[in-house]
Amino acid sequence: MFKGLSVRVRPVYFQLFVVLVLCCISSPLLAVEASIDENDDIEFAIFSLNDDLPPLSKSKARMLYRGKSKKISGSLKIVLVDLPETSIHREEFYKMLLGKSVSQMNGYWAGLAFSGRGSPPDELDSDDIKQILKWLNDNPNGIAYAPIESVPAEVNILITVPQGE
Amino acid sequence: MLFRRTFFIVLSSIIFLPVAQASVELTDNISLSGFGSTAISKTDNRTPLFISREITESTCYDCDTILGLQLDVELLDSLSASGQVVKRTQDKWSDPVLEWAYLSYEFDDFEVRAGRLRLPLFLVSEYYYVGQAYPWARPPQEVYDSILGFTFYDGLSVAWDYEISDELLLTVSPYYGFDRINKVELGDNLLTFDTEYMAGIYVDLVGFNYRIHSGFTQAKYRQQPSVEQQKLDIYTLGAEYSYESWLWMAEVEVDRLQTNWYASAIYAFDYLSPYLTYGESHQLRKSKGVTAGVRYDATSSISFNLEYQMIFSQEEGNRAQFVTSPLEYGESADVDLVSLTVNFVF
Repeated sequence: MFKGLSVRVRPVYFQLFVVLVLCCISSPLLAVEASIDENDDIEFAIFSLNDDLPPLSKSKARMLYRGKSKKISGSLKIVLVDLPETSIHREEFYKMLLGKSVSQMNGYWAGLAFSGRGSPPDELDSDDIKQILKWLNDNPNGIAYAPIESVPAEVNILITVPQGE
Repeated sequence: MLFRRTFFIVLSSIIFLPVAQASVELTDNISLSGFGSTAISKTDNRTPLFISREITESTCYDCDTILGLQLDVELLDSLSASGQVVKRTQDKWSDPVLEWAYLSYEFDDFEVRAGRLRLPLFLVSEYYYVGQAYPWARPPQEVYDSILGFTFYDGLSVAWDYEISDELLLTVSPYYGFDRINKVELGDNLLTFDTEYMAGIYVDLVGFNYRIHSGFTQAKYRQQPSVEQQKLDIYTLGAEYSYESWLWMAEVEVDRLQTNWYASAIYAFDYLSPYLTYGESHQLRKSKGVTAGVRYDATSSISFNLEYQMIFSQEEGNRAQFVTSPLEYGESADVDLVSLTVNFVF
């Protein structure tokens, strides 16, 4: 039975392999990382008002903002907040951290909301720092992002983007 | 006529615009959200195409219509409940199905669920009915129609989420579904499966820009009116990888009746995402197909797909992706399909 199976499956895998190789060849050509570097005049801070939250690695920040991880330090359940959809900072932040456009993120959040595996971030009405701080005050395990110059000195900065590695 | 229908679809989408943010918080602990899709679709063949959609050469406005509502309730800190009611493509508006309804309990790295649960065979199984969540107008039929469109089981699941490192997450989830009767209409035939059990496991490796999903399911069933018990072992493997504006997805499904696969490449400009998908079905269905399409994200909660799909039968008389052999309609074995779809979430 397995012999018969492999004979049937082998050409399938071969063709799949060819397709994947073609895809892989096409990617290095585009690997100029232009979109990551073009906004080097702006820097974001990912921060919290909770001093117990540890610094984040860039990988961890990416996992959190792709909705793939919900906890830090193994047990602390994190909640995220998003700036309004109209905010230019929101667009820049996701481009810098994840290399994703707002529309790509919309698709991801829709998938997450209806997968039963989590929910998209809360969304604020404006990108005013006062609103962000108020939300953080109400959400002790919440983390937010904002341009670093607007962030007050007393907050707990977990990582900066794009500098943090 | 076509214009009026299109207008109606666009108009009804715009009604959802004011609630750009997905989901409505009814209270702090209860949220209601919804999703839907509908399409204008047409083939060049009189044989109904795709299980549960049955698109033909006469322009169809409701072959792809889906509307779902989801209610999520946080009962206690780690106990929650979720219910999802969906009018699927094959359902009448008056007769939607309960697609899932479960209690979920989380502790440490584990989550236990009990109730009606989604069968986690494929990459987009969890949001199979949510067009807004995947790039295409429909998940590739070569793979997603391989088990006749069955999407849920009644039973239990356990998921173990383990963070291997900051950048790599492992999920292992065994599940068990109790006996139930599953029915599906294939053209004029109603197939009834008396399933004794459906048990399986999936293992996921997840990074921030990729996911590898492998699954195994064993089903023991009797296809009525036959009394003979049969077992089917289903193996699935899928991967998605995104790099900057690119997203690649590929999946394989293998069981003793068939082997199916597809590969898809999607490139996202800001609001336009063109894509190309190639898929093949072997043994049970014999076809090769290519889909070229573009998705337009109009707002964060509304998107459109325009798609052209060509499916080539690999054997005279085989049903390929039709619901029955095209010979029954005296039709060509190959088919072209054009679709204009709108997807929304709220």
